[in-house]
Amino acid sequence: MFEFLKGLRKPGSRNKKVNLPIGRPVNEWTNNSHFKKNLGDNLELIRKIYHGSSDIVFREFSGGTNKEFKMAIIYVDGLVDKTIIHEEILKSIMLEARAVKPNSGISKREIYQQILSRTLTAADIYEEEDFKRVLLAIASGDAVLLIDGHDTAICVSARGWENRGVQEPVTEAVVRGPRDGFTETLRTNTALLRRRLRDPNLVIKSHVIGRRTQTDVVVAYLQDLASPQIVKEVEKRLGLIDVDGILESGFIEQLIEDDWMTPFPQIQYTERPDAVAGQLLEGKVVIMVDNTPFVLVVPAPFMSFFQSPEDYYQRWMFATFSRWIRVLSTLITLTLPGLYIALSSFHPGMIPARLVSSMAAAHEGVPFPAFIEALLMTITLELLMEAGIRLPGPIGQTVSIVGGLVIGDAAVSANLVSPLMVIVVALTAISSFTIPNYNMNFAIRVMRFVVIFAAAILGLLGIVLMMLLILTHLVNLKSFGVGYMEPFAPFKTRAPFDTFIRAPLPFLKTRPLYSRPQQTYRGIDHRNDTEQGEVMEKSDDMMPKLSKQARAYQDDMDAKRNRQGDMDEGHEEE
Amino acid sequence: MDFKRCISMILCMIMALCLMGCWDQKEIEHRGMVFSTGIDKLIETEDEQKKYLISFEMPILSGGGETGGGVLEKPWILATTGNTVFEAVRQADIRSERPLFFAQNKVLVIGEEIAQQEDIRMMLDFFLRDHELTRNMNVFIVKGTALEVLNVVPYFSDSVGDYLRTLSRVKYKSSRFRATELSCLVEDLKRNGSALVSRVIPSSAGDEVKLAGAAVIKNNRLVGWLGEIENRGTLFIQDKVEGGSIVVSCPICSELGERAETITFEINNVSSKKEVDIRGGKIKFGIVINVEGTIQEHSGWQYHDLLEQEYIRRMEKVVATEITREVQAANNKLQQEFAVDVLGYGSYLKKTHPDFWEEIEEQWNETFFPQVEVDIHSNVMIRRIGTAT
Amino acid sequence: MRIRYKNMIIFIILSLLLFQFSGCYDSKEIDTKAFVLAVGIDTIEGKESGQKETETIKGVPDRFTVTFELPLFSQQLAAGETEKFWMLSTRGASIIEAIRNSDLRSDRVLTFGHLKVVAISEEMARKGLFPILDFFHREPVVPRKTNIIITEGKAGDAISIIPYQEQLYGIYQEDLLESERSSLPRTAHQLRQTFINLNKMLYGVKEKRNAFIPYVKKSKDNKETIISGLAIIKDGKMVGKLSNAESYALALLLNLTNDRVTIIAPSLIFPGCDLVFEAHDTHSQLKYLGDKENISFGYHVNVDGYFAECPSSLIKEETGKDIDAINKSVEKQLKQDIERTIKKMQVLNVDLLGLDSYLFQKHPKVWKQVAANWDELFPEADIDVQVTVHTRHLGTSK
Repeated sequence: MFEFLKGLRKPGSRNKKVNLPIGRPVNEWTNNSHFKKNLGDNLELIRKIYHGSSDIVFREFSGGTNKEFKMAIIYVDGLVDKTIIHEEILKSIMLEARAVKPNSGISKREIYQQILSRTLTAADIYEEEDFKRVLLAIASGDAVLLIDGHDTAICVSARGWENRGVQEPVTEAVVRGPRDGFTETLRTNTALLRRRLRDPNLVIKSHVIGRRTQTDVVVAYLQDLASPQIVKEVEKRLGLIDVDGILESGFIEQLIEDDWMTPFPQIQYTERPDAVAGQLLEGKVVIMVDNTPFVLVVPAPFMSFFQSPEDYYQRWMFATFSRWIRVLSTLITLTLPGLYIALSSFHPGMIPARLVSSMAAAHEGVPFPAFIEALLMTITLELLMEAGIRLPGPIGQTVSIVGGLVIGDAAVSANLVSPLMVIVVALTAISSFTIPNYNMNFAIRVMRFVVIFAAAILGLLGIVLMMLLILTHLVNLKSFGVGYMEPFAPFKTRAPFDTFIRAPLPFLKTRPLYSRPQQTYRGIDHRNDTEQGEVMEKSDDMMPKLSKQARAYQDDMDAKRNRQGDMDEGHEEE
Repeated sequence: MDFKRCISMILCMIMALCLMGCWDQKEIEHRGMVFSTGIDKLIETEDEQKKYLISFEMPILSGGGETGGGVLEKPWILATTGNTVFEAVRQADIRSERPLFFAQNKVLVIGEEIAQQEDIRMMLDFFLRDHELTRNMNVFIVKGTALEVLNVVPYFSDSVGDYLRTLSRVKYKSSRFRATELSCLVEDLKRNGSALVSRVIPSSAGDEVKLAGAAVIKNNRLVGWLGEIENRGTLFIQDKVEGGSIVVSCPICSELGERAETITFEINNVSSKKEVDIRGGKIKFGIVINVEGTIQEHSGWQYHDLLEQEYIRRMEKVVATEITREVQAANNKLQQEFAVDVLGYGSYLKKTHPDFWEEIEEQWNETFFPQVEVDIHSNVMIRRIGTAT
Repeated sequence: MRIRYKNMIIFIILSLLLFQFSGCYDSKEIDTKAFVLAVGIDTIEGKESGQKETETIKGVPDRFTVTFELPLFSQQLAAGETEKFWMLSTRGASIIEAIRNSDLRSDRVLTFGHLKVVAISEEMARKGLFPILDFFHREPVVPRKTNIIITEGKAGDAISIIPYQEQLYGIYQEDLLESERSSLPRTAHQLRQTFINLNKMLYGVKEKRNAFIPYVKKSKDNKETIISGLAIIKDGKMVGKLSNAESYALALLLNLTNDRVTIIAPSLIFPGCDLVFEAHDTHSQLKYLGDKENISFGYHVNVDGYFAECPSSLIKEETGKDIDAINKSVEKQLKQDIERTIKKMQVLNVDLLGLDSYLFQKHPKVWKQVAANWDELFPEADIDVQVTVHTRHLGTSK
């Protein structure tokens, strides 16, 4: 089970099987099969392969004046758009066949070319000799046309199935921002992306992963921005995956992440096309998987989990403020219950006398020590959350109301927990929801328990040690070769400007460096234009020198801008 | 076959009904919870048959669940009389509409007078026999009457029983008293009818209780008291000391003429060992006490630097002398004044020299024990001196 | 692999060592602790009163009566006339022993992490402070900013008062001592300052055992305490008192004045009427004026402030406007106060000004000569005082 994971954790350790082709054979018996000239044989073979499944449709028909050309269409019912088969294939062939004069003498050999180049009116057609690929085409929703006497199949893309329309993403709600979200159909998703990025540099590379599911997986990036090393690394890791099924992008995430022995996610996921477009513009690499609206983004250092796409739509002060709130709430979620335990059971001398007085008064008569109390309440909270998620909407709400209000209030009045503890736990719960990413939210919530235990064992010392341990762990993590705590460790002078504060957009001229973009400047790099530019370069020592490619791009852009200027002038003259 | 199985099944289920079932159940608020019980001698002479005045401390639970404190009601002290304990319980049942429930009775307080005059075993029988009662109940003997103690409303708690129990559990480190559990007490009494029981003193103002010292029981009757310091001396011999502080006068300061200056030594860790020597027909016990601890206070701080090695050795010696003196005094009191072997000399002898023990067992308490020579030696190590020099 | 194994072992050993620190086995829930807010320390009265603490076979006789103020938190929110604290009074040969004695009566552990006030009776202070202060110095949990006061009469009575507004005495007393209008030296009430004043290790001069501690009186109705100057501690024993005005003079010389202190001075131009002046910025400078034979110091004190009240100004308008006259009046009064204070110290032979350490630091050659017989020289030393007062504004009165 873990054999392939081992291979993934140390790329290159499995030297022999690295270069496996993507889209490997489905079953052993298809390995030796190939098309024969005889249509009947071919159909027999395919029927045998599909074991008479009822959703595979074999439509045999004849063309030509004397019905001498036997043909067959094979498709999966429900996956194809029947109008295409009807209008573009059957109608065309049959009408065309009727239009051929009786003695025009088209031989059986010519009929194939005739159909391919003249008869079929469908937009997307390709020939396929490989038997395995034809099977894949059928399963993906293509209609396959077989002609008697030819060992090549014509695949017509007639995909069309029921799918969910583009809807507002549920998991990542924003107040301001586009309302469209990814869907389960890969093509719709790539289209949503292409609509936002009309740059020809947007590369969308397709792979097929999963021995049995044969799922389409797409790697998207901006050719001239994304770091070639990271792209290469992503493709290498995707190539190493050897499982029978990919049902969700979560499979991919878990199979290609750097370290699976950590609660912290190293790959970000999102449902929002605008977020993905933004990430692509930062030079990151995107992995999209068919049948899921969740798209993976790499590399994903720690701070990127605390950013919401809305940060960039809001004005900078408010975006900065909400980022502070998020960082603060992360700290609260992680440490507040632990701090309460440590302060009340270990170091009451560290809090002001009046606070101690109210804490002690609140805890008076509660039969449990603070640790048990905290554990009780936090676990109750997790129970409520889990129940709320699993239950259908309206019942979920009832559960949270009953749980939160009734149980909490009753527990306090029954003197089972102190009211202060309820405040602490409620504050923790609310804080944990401000973390935009659910993955990270989960990680922090789990770590909170660890901190609670540390506080119960060693008090404040335990909290400090545990935080140190967590920090050490975070600094050690890597996401696709990028340090998890970048840009703080190693520290970059500009680190705070798109992390703790979101600098005003006119000042956000550079891309984040952790994604190692080929071009660091978002706009035109003026550094070499004027003296002022030179000063800037000196002052900003962390900027790497522009690569040749980037320089070329920049020249290109300059030229374009000049041209634009010319045109504008011309326009004015008119 | 199936029929037979069916019948036996039904029979089993009917038999199960003979056990306790829903008809026996009683809601928690319908039970008269007893937190502590006090036993006194009945003074009134009009009813001569009755021996005991027995009082039960029953909390009034109506105000429960009130958050934020408030004035809580004083528990109900229900006092009845009886010739036996159980008779008094039945008497109380008549007066309380809720039947008395003893599973939470954690404290038993026995008055001074009744303990002197009656065999203690007679009072304890009920507490051992009733299935509701737990044997880890704390037993105290009052200097005064038990009713006085039960009537105290302590500052930090609503129930004096609860207060006494926490006090004896939390403060065992002071070594000034002993926490006596019912089961241990009964074991001691069975052995030779003598035991040391925790002593409780009610304050004259009636708002406080103090747990200090021990009651000495000989032949199942109270014969006298041990003070708090003497009690610690006996704990040293039994190797049960967990803490406490010892005040001695500062050796350097007294040389300088400041006789009042003191050193307070806090005990952290104690181990003591017994040895016995019966050569020459004389029984001689040797007790070695090793103490580790901290200097907690040195009131003559201006006179001397505490960090000096030689001075620390000197202080150790002074403290060791004080401990030896303390233990010796306690031992003498028990041996000479009360002539009661509660510290386990006899059982130690029985374990180490069974043959010899068989010879002298009969006369041990009267003849041999008061003659036993006890040699006490203590060693002290000062580990820390606090944050000042 | 071997390195990893080694690291693992080191890690395990380190984490085992962690348990040498205080851990969960030492932790005490907040409601099993009794926070001591104030401690009052008295001498044992000659006549035995109340129960005997220890039926003793111990060698050292009891020496202190110690009273602890323990707040009852459960009664904190309760309405009406309930008791908010427990005054627990015990006795012992040392402070620790008194605490241990209290252990037998309170089921909660006495905790000194929130100690606000240490009150010592005058009688006790005159016998000596060192035996008392040792506990507060040695015990790590006692906060160093705890207030220390010396009370007229019994300290146990003084801390048992029930203030009007505050429920607990400890907090009341702390607020009172920290008032910015207090005329005492700024840090006089802190335990830390007392330790510094008394500590022999601090200065290389000699064993310094002089200190000043606020002196507090209890009102007759048991509702208030009144700060009335400083107690002078010489060699760890109280030897005298400074009044409030003298305490302010001392604060001026030590540069430890509070921000807004009221000075009352008789008016020079309208006799029989007092001026009220609020000082808010003061600065004093010390200079050595003597040579190797004559010991002579010079103080220059600068006081800035404003004019708060001049009752005579409505009768005779210029009395409220003549800034020069106002300055002169205040200067005269302050000079008198300061000189009286210095005289007092010289009579008692208590050098609270730190003149010895000033010489040691700034004029080591002079110090070398006088060090041996400083105790004889100080009472004779010539200390010259100059006061300059600046009135910054006169208020809104015309």
